[in-house]
Amino acid sequence: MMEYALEIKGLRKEYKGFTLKDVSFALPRGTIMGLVGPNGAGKTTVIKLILNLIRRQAGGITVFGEDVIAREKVIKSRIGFVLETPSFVEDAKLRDIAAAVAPLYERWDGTLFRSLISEFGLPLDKKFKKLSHGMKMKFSLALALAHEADLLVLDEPTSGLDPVFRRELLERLSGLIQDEGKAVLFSTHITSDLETTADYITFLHAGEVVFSLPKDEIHETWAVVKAGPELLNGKLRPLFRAIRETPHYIEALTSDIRTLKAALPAGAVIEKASIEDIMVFMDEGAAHV
Amino acid sequence: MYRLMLKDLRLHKRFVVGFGIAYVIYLAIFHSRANNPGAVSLFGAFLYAIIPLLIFTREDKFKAAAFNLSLPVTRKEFLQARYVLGWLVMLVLYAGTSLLTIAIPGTKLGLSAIFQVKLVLLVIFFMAVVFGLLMPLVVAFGFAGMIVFLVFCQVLGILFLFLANLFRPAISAAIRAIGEFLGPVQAGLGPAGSAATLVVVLLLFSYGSYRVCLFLFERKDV
Repeated sequence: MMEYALEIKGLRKEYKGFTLKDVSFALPRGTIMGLVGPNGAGKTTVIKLILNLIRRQAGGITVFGEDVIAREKVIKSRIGFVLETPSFVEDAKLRDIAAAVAPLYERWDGTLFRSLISEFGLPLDKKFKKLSHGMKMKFSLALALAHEADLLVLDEPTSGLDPVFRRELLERLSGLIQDEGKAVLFSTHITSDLETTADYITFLHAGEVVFSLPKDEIHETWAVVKAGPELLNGKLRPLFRAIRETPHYIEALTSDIRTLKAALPAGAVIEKASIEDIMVFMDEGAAHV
Repeated sequence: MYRLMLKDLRLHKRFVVGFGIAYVIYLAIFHSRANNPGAVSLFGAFLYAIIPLLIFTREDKFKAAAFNLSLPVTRKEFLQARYVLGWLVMLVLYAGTSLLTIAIPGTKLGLSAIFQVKLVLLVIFFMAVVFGLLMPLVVAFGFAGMIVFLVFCQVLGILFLFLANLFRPAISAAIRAIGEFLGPVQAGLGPAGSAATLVVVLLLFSYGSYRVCLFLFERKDV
């Protein structure tokens, strides 16, 4: 049986006005998974549940086969994390924050940390509050990477980063999983990051998993179909996940292009759906199906 | 636990050292000018208990709880470290203030006045009560919890003064009755027995406070 780096089954968390419902997906070792979805889809909630920052109402989470609550300490020592808003004691210097955190990790690599700090251009004698958002994010990344974590859980790690550093980070993540034992889960709004880096994509919408699939499979099965109004006639409609109507033509998103292809009206145009297409369609058009 | 305590001390060292020294000097000067060691020591005890709580509420202020709880520690360990660190800070402040009070030229409180066993135990007991009551509020509500408690104490104090004026004879009788009840108990136990009882109550109260905190903390979403 395949041992996943991260496996989530039937996860449920209720808030007033929002419920994360029956979320299940698995992240194989040696892969990168992008967690994607519009604002309020539940990405941060899932990440907080993995880190045991909030309590789940149902379901289970295992990391490298072990329950995250029962084996919290051991598991967290194997996780490198970046939270959506990096928050430390604001008036502490970076040097002090690192010195406070390092002893808690058995595999903390001081040499690696110093090299990351130098590479990221971080001033260790500066107070955390004096850093820009991008620099704060870089510091969080340095902490997450410096203890040889087996699983990286990153919540919007590229937000606030300049394009050059963003690309470097994504390359670093790709390099990291060359070690087949490691894995990365990162949430993002920047879908181009997913196109270049992710092996798997889990798409959340309104607290539910729309799909969790290898990226290649998404490109093979999801498509945007453009045609006249006849597209919505008869038996085709159930094959669409979301529809956008204009006065002159219909655009529809499908997750089953193989079945649909044979039945499409003449003149219909089929385009591969990008992650962004799927996000936009699901967010705008799901209600119109 | 030691690493967690060290983490808090490292991250808050400027606050701990700066605020701690200022408080010790202020309280020592205040103590050295007072004639009543009991009253000033109990006032001091209240402040010793507040300082470690102020350190912990800084986490709330900086919204750093999510980061701290993502580190490889359990909430139980995290809380245990906070209790031990809290007591260490309180005892260091108490010792520092007491020693400085004695050293201040012209002090009205000498070594024997400050370090009476009964007074020391009372100060520690009072610290335990304030710290033990406030910790669950800080855990559950952060800085706001502490402020609500302090405001509640003020209101209670005002209410007590008001009621004391209205029902002075009844209150005096009640206090006398308590004294009459405790007097023979204390006499029966003897000085050593009374001290031991106080220590046992203190430990039980602190343990109760810790258990309440743990219950709240393990159910708290960050």
